[in-house]
Formats: sequence, C-alpha cells, structure tokens
Amino acid sequence: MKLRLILLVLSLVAVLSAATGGFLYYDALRTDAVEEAERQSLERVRTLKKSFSAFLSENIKPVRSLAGLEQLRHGLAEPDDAAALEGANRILDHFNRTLDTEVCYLMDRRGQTIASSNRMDDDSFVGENFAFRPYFQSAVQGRPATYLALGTTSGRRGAYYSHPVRADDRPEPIGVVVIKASIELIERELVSGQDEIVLVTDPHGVVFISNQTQWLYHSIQELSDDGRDQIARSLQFGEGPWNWIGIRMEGERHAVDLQGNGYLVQRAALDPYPGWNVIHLRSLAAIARTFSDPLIRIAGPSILALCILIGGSVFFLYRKASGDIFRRQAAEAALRESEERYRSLYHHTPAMLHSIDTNGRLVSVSDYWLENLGYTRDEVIGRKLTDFFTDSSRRYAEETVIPGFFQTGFCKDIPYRFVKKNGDIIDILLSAVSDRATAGRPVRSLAVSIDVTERKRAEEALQQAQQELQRHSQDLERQVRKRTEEVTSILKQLRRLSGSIMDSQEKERKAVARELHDELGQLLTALRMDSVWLRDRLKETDAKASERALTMCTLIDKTIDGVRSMAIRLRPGVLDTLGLVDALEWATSDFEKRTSITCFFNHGPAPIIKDTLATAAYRITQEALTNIARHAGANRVDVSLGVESGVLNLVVSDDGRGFDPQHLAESFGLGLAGMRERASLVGGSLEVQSGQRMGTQVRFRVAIDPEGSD
Amino acid sequence: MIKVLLADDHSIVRAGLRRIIEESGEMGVIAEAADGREALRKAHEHLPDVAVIDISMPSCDGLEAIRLLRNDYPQLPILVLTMHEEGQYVVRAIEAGAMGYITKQSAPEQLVKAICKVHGGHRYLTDEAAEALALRVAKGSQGRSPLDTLSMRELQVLRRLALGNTNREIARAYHISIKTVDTYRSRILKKLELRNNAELSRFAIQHGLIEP
Repeated sequence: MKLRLILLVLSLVAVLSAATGGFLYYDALRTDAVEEAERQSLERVRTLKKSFSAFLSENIKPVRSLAGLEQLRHGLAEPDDAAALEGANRILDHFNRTLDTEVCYLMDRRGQTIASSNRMDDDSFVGENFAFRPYFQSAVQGRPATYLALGTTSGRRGAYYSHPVRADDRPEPIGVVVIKASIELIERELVSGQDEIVLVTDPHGVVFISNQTQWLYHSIQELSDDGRDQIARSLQFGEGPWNWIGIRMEGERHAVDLQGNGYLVQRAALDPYPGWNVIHLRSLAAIARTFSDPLIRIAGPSILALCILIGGSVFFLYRKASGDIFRRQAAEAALRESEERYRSLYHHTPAMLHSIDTNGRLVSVSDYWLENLGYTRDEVIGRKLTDFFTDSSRRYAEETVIPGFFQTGFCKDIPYRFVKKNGDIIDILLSAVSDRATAGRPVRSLAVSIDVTERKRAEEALQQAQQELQRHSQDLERQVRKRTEEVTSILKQLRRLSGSIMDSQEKERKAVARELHDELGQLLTALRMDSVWLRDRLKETDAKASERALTMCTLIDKTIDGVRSMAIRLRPGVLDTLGLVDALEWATSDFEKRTSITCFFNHGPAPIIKDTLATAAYRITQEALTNIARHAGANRVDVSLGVESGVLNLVVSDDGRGFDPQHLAESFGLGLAGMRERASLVGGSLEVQSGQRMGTQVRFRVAIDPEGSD
Repeated sequence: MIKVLLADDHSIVRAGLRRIIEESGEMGVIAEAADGREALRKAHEHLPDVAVIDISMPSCDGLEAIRLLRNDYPQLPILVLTMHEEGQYVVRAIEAGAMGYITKQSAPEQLVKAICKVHGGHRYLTDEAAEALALRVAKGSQGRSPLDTLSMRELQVLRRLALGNTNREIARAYHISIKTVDTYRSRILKKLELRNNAELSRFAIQHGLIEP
C-alpha cells in the first residue's frame, strides 16, 4: 500500500516538474522572440530609411541636367514664341518619359507654369502658378530643392525636385524647372510587409507615406489648433483635418492603440528632410504568434505523448511493485524453510560440528558431536569450547589458535585433544571458518572436528615400522658396500692376475717360438746341410746311402716347416721384429691361405705403437679371424687398421651369418670375452656389432701414446 | 778366391755354411761373427768381398748390422741368409741395403750361386722374394700412386695377372681359392678403374711392377 502511495506522489511530482519546465521554456522562448523582433525592426527601419533616402534623391541629378538645356532657356526667354515653347515641352516630355516620373514642368520667375509634360491632360499645370511652394521659392533664389507634398492640382502625392534655370549672361535664375515623382510607386514597393506598419511623417507628425492607407494625412499625435493652421497654410497635405490615428507612444520603444494592442516601435530620421521620420510599428501579438504557433504545433503532440508515457510508466511500475512484494514474501518463506533445513542438517550431519562466539563459548553443536563426547546439548551450550579440551590443547587454543582465527577467518587441521565425559581422550583435527556479520566482523565460527585417534595410532605404528625398516636397509647397504668392495678388490686382483697371465703367456710363447724357430730351426737347417753334404758325397760311392740321405733331407725339410709353423702360430716373429702392420699383413694372407676366405687388409701409415698394444691388436685380430673361420660362414673378411687423432682403430668385419649377441655359442663367447679382456688391459674398448645375416663387425679402439712407445 | 764374412749366431750353422762355401773351391770364409757387432769388427779387420748375414741375431740385429755395414763399406755386397721365409723380411732386408736374400733351408743348393751373383754386383733373390720386393718397391717408390689403394695381396695378384698367369695358377701360387682370385681381380679393376687384363698389363708395366 505504502509503495503505491509513493508511486502516486512521484508521478504527481513528475507532472508538476514537466509543467514548470514547459512554462520556463516558453517564457525564455518569448523573451528571445521579442529581442529578435526588436533587432529585426531596427534592421527594417534602417533599410526603409536607406530606400526612402535613395528614392528621394533619385531625381536630383536629372533635374540639374534638365535645367542646363538650351531649349528651356529658349522657352523662358521667348515665352510667346510657340516654337520655343514647343521645344521646351518636347524636352520635358522626353525627360518625363525617360525617367518614368509623373510630370516635368517649367515655371517662369513668377511661378507661372509655361511648359509641362502634362499640358495635354485634364489636370494640366500650364498656366497654374506654384509660387507658394517652398521648392519654387528656394529654386528661384538659386538653390535647388526637394519637397514632399500632396499635389494641389493633381491631388496626388509626390516628391518634387526643383532647379533654377539661368540665362548664360545673368546670375539670377530666369525660371525654375521641376520634376515630380510619384510616391505611390515607392510606397507599394517598399512598404509591403503584413505584420508591420510603416509610417513616414513630417515634422508635425502627419503621415505622408504608409502601408496603412486609412492613416494617410492623419497625425500620430493630437494636433494643436496652431499646428493645424500651419499645415493648412502650407497647402502641403490638402485640407485636413489630420486626425489622430489613435496610437499612443509609451516610451521610446513601445506604443498602445485604443483597443489596448501593444506595438514595438522603431524610428529613424529621414535625413534629406529635416524633421521627417520613418516610423516602424510591429504588433506584439503578431510577434508572439511567430514563435507560439510552431511551438503549439510541435509541443501539443509531445505533451500528449508525455502524458501517455507517464500514465503507462505509473501503471507498469505499479504492476512491477506488486510482483516484487509477492516475490519477497515468497522468498522470506523459502528462507525460513531453508534455515529450518540447515539447522536440521547441521544437527544431523554425522560429523562433529560446533560453533563458538567471539568469547569462545559454544552456541551450537551437532548431535554427532554430543554423541562422540557423551554430553547432552544442555550441558554444553553456553560453555567454553576449551573446557572440553585437555590442558595442553586448551593453552594452545587460547593463546595461539583462537585469537589468530578471529583475525584470519579460518583455520585448518589444527590438532586438538578432546576430553570425553567419561574421561577418555580423543585426538581430533579441527578446521573452521568464521561466520561474519554484514559489517565484516566475525561473530561466530563454524567448525568441523575429525576424530583421528585411530589414524594417529596407525601413523605412529607406521612411523615406527619405517624407522625399523630404515635401520635394516642401512645395515643392508653397509653390508652390500662391504661386499662390493671385497668383490671389486677381488676383481682388481683377478684383472691384474689375468693381465699378468696374459703377459707371461705372451712372454712364454715368444720364448718358445724363438726357441723353436731359432734354436731348433737352426739346428735342423744345420742338419739339413749335413744331410745334403752326405747325399752329395755318397752320390758317387754309395748310391743307396745317398738316396737315404735325400730322404732324410726331405724329412728334415718337413720338420723345419712344422717347427716354423708351430713357432709362428705361437707368436709370429714378424710382430716383434717388423711390427704390427707387417704382422697383420702376414696374418691375413696366412688366413686366406688356410681358410680360402677372401681377406682384405687395408692400413694407413704404419703407426708407432707400444709392444703391448701391438700384441693386443694382433691377438684381437687373430681371435676375430678364428671366430670367423669357425662360426661366420663368411665369404669375405675386411681388416683395416688406421690412426685417427691419436686413436688406433682396428676393424675386423665379415659378411657372414652374424649372430644374436644374446645367444652366443660358448666357445665364441669365450673368445669374445678374451678379446674384451685384452682390449681393457691396454685401456682400449671393444665393440661388437652383429645381427642375423648382417655379418659381424669387431672394432677395437685405443688411444696410442707416441711418446711411450717401446 | 772370394773372401766371405759369415755372421750367424749359431756355430753349428756357421760350420755347415763354411763347409758349403769352402767346398766350392771358388771362395773361402775369412772371418766368422756370432752377432752384428762382431760382424762389423770382423769386416773392419778382414775387409771381406762378400758378407753373409743372418737377420735375427742377438745384441745387434741383422737389419741394423746391414745398415751399419752399408754405411762403412758401400761397395761391400751383402747376402742375407735367414730362417725367415716371409716376404716382409725380404723387403726390409733389401731396403736396409742387402743385395741378396736366401733361406738357410736352400743354402746347400743356392748359397754358392748367390755369393757369386752378389759378388758380381747382381741381385740374388728367390722368386717369392723378388716378387715381394717388386711389389713393395712399386708401391713405395712413387709418391701418391694409384697403387697406394691396393693391399699387398692385391698387388701380388695384379702382378701375376699382368704376367699372364691364369686364375688357377695364381690360386695355386698363393694357396687361395680360384673364386678369391676372381674377387681380387674385379676389386683391382674397380680400384684402378680398368676394364680388362690388357689394360691391367699396361698399367703394371707403366708402374714398374713387371718388365715390359
């Protein structure tokens, strides 16, 4: 109800504001219009004045020209000469026609008209005397003049331009020539406006030119009898009675007529005629119409539309407000229901929930909370939460957690210990958020506690187990380290042993090979020499014995071959005396000879290398070749030896069936292990690349030390 | 009478050799040495016409002894007499300055002939030794040669092919299979950018592997 009243008042205020605004706007517009009209009037009156002035001086020059013409002088000099008068009349006719004036005429010194352009008309001036006219009086004394007056003969208004006509030898004029121009024309042309009234008045205030013809020869003010007499005497404006037009001036700018209509007034002096004025009147009502008419035309529908809009708005807002009120009532009901539900939820949630106020006192707890701690609701509400804590938890809460909590607004997983009613202690983790009032000040907390007694117990047990485990693992690690050291040292010993075994084996072989080759071989050759000698010696005497010696010689040759080949297999002398390249050259050609497998040996410049290195390289090649001969089924073997940036590179590759490195025949594996052992003993590396039907490549690489070669 | 210096570390061998030399009637052993150093000293003392030297001797080995003798007595022909059959030794010995090379095994048959030959200012080499030498000299003498790309065995096969040996003959000579010989042949042709055996012969002559 209240809302509806407010709406009503508001709409009234709106209407009132609109009306006031409208009025003020209207007033401002009107003031503007009046100012504008004044400006226009001033402008208008200036224009009129200029036009009148121009018109009234229009014929000054023509009349001077006319006065100078010979024919007029001639006419004046010989007034009785018909030809002379005719000449003057023709000139006058010509000027009247050319200038489009009302009449041109010539007077003698007495004011008698002797020639005129209207001599043929009914109102002919010829013979008329205009000596009473001021323009004549001025001209006959030698001064040209202009004059405004109502014609005494024609009864038509005009502007008179007079000029003296002089004979060649005399200074005083012999006559006066006059051009009369009609006023009606200029009146029609210049004074055409509808809203305005234009008056041209003489010094007495008599209206001589106007667009209000009813006011012609009336006065703009009440004339005194004296004034009236003067005007009558001058014969300037007919016979009168020159009544008042009925408009009274109020100040310089305003005037009021008899009906009470107001006018805006502007006046200006008509300069060529002293005392004459141009007066411009404009009706105030007409001014008002110029702005009010369009305003009403535009504003009328706008006001109507505004009214409809305001009415519509009020109706719409009223409807809206009613809807809002209904909705708010429904929302309040829903809120009440929701609060009820929340409360029920809070109490029945199977979690330990509680809320405390800023003093730390319990304001609500959930059923589960009570159940867990063994209290009833009446026993706990209003008591401090910390009353249910152990001493250490209480100190921790009061000194640290609660003050911090009401500042930050939350806390998470705070470990507390609750004391149950029966005295048992449980471990919990408490998390809480603060419930703030609208001002942002916390008013209470909403906290949930999780019973972690079991978890904590389990964690402790786990930790203990982990420590135990760690201890064991450390023990184990220590033992492993110890064993590793032992094994490493054994390995080192073994490596040393293996190295020394190989070394001594090489020495042994070298010695045996030398022994065989040099000692036994030499002895055999000596024996052979003897047997040859025997053979040759006995050839003559004992053919049988000689033959026997030959057999012996052949046997010795075989033995020598056997010994040599035995020695060379043990260790080729070439390796010791000529070096690795020659040894490999021999070994590859020997391999080719023995196995019928094509064997290419390529080498770069012969490297200078240590004896041990050469032995290793030679033995590796030998082992690789042995493997190829036994297992590879190869058609071709490539052995290459090269040195590249201080690294000896020996490659033995075949095009055989290859092998799967995972599954090696035992002998082959042993051979490979031997090669590796030899490679590592001299600090080199051995790579074996192989694959089914891809051949095998054995690559031995070792850094050579050119300085320490021995 | 040719004066021979005999250097060998085995006295029994020396005795055998001395007998062979002296029985020829054309030459005699004027001095014996058991090692390289002694050989030098004896050469100095006796100024032999020919030196017969074993390659493998203690203290100063045969190759070194040859070099030293050549240095002191450039005109002294040296014949190498050795247990070693391997071609590699031949090349080294000739490089060191020896004029001839025979094995001890062939001494009874060839020694006298060889001494005569070297004494006459000629080389004396067995077929195998001559071949090994020719190949090595051909390969080693000519700066950057297309022969550098060939292995020793390839050179052997090339030489034999150039001499007009058949694949079978070559296989027998080197104790390798005929197929291997063929493989070598195509490999040689490819390496030297040759087309057939005729071009191969021309190449061998140009590079001094065989006499024209």
